[in-house]
Amino acid sequence: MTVAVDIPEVSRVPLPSRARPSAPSAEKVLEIRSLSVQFGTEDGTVLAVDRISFDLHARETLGILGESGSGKTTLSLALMTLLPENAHVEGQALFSGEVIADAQISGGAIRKLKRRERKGLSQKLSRIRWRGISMVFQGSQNAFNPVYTIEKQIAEVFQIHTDLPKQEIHDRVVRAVQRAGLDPAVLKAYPHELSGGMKQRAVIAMALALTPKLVIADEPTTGLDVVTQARLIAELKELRQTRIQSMIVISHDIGVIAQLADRVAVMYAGRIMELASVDEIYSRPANPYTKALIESYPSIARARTGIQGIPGTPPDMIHPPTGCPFAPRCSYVEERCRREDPIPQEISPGHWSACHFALDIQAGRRAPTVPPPEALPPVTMPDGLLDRPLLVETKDLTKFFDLRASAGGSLFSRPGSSRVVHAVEGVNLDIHPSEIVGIVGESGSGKTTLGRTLLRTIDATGGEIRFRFREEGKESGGEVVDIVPLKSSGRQLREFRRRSQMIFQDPYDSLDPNQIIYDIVEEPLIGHHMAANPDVTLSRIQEALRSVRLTPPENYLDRYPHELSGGERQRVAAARALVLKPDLLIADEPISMLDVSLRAGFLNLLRQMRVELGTTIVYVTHDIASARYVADRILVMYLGVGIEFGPSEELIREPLHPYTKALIQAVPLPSPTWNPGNLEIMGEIGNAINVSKGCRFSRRCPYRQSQCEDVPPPRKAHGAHWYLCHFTQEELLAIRQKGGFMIPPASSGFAAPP
Amino acid sequence: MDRSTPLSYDDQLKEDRQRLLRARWRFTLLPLKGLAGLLALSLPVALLGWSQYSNIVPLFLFFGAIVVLFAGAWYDFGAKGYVRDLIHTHQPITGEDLDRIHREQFILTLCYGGVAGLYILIALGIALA
Repeated sequence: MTVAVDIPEVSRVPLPSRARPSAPSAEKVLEIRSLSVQFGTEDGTVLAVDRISFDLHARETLGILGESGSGKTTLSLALMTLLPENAHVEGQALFSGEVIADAQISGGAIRKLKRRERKGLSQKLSRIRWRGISMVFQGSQNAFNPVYTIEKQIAEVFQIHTDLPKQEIHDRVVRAVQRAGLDPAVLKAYPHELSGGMKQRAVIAMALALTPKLVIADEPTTGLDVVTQARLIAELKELRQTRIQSMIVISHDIGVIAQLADRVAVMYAGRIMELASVDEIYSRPANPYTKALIESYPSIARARTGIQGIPGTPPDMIHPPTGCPFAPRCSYVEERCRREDPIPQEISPGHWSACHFALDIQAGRRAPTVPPPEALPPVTMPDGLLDRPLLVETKDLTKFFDLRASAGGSLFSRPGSSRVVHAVEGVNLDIHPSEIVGIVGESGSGKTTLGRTLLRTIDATGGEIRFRFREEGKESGGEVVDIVPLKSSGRQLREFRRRSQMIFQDPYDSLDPNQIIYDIVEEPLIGHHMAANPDVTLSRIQEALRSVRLTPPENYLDRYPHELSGGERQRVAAARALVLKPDLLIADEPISMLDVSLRAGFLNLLRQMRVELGTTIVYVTHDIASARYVADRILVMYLGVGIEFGPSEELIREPLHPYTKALIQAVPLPSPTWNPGNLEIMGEIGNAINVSKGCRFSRRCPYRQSQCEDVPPPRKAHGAHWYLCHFTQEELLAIRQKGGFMIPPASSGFAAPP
Repeated sequence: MDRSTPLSYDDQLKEDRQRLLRARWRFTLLPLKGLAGLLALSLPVALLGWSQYSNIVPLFLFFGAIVVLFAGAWYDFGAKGYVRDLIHTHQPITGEDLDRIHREQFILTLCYGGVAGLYILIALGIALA
């Protein structure tokens, strides 16, 4: 079955078959009947889930796709009977025929149960949870208790839900982590010693420990690097065929859902807008929202053709709109959509869509009634960009963090062990005016430290940062100054601070919730004594808001950050940086906290800022696809070292360093046919304390030879494109052909703590 | 910070030992500076012939000793920040690390106790003089 938004009787449709070793069976694991969840708040009642119905069969994986706030996580919490007390449930959810959510046993209703009934419910839930339904929670990187070892926390599952003896529990815990692709050495470690990917695997091991009938994975790869994400997807795919009986995967990432799901339910404003097999959803979407989501996905291929975001924001669910909830953002909207709620219709067996014009949209017979936002042409390097005099040039820029730098560090450090983090080492980078340079790498590669060192928010340990103080409106001329030795109270550094600004990663944290937008954008002007004249200040703030497309600016000046969407908040952060008209802007992962539908809009904004304002941008990201979309040139970093640098198109089309090749391989494609299985990279990035004397990447490189570990690699240049490696492309090919190429193992390569 | 010539293991241990002693001394110097400050502040008044000097200053020193004792007992001497740095850099924290942290905190508490004793001795000296 299906979506039944307004239909009381839910029709049953056979499930689509899919190329999978064990096809879904007729046994129903989960039956959801017109389930609604509302939350009582001080502002009113929020309708989080709106009359959802579907069935999940044994050996089937259902993907739930949608933006933040679409009700995905609320649905999963309802299935686990974990809703908070202010929740009110209508409809019903059954797990293997037993009621797990309804008006009597969910949310605040539990308080009204008699003691005996509450005890009965508690016993039932204890039996169902973990043995029947287990969950991989969102943000599971913080799911572990930091003061217990991983073993103790996984063993807890067995201690609570089984009567097994201690030794048997230990053996089962070892088997559980091995099955999740981890080395048993992690069991003795504390959570902070594990990387994000390892923690996620450990959480998956915990969820699968008792071989439950149903696993609910809520955003299982969110917050992970692309390489780790690709690995985890491959492992989950394998587990799906061996250990996982049925699964619900919840994600806002189309690429992840495409890989893991048999069927996909696309949610918006608490409803299922479309439900179909994964192939149908990706090849023949029949709902404008699904189409818009797919078109806004910044995959590496789309980065060449232009990406459009979805305009507008999801509706306020305290006052749900009449008619179709997507109508205000839909390109195919008609008057009827604003008036009538669309009834889900089955447009082909198993394919349901809640749209008045589903068939026409699927067949491509319908033209947009509202012109979609214009996609920008592919980024091309402006003529003569590389001939312009440099704005910033770094020479052997180095930043070490010594854990013994403080008196406390010296007092408590382990004697004889290294405590120096080589965050950035010997980076040489040249940036031209109006250029966008992408800095790409996994977490821990030093890209953010490099960005902050460039701005001198942290002091460099060594090297030079030469900055050209240009005269306003002129590209050449001006004094070139090394900003590393400048005194922090000096005039020149103050001037540098005005000319260099930053956009931070998280727009939810980087804006003061107690300030209105006017105050937020005004703050840099006050800091640089440029807010003396209120009329001039107001016009500068309005100009900054206009330049980030927050128009008309008057509508935003008196609003607080919580009244804005994530994308709008990040635009306010950009306006705050632009109000000083900086020459250099560092954007540190500015889209990583935004929904997929909003990312395209912000990336387009960065490109427009360069064209309209001539701003030079350093774009820091772990997503090489988005770097391709915005950057003229890309620097790939690994453990503090720049290992490849070149024009972005050339670097993506003909990557030279094995690490860059692996990064590109790891970017998911929004298609069920993509295979993340054979990444040419081993283990995980590790930390920058005990780094290799030779090539930093040698420990993970499948082409590794004897000299790589001990001898620093030379720089090999192909025109403006260079990389650090001992081998030419022909030699790398020869190593592969001779069989010296190491096949990456499945395990995470965790080294036991000394 | 010159990292071009790495130290041998023995030299590294020697350097770590010196760092450790320097760090202990840096922490112990704080209450000693406080003592010197208190005496230096009150000395000009004594030289001007303040009659209540031997009654009031020992009282201040005694209160100072109590403050130093409490600081030695309650201050973590940067342990929290050090553990946070280890967590941020994914370093393992073993039982040995915790033992070392506890031992150093105990040693510094004793040092602060000793300095507090010095405060009291000087207070007694002034009172009885």
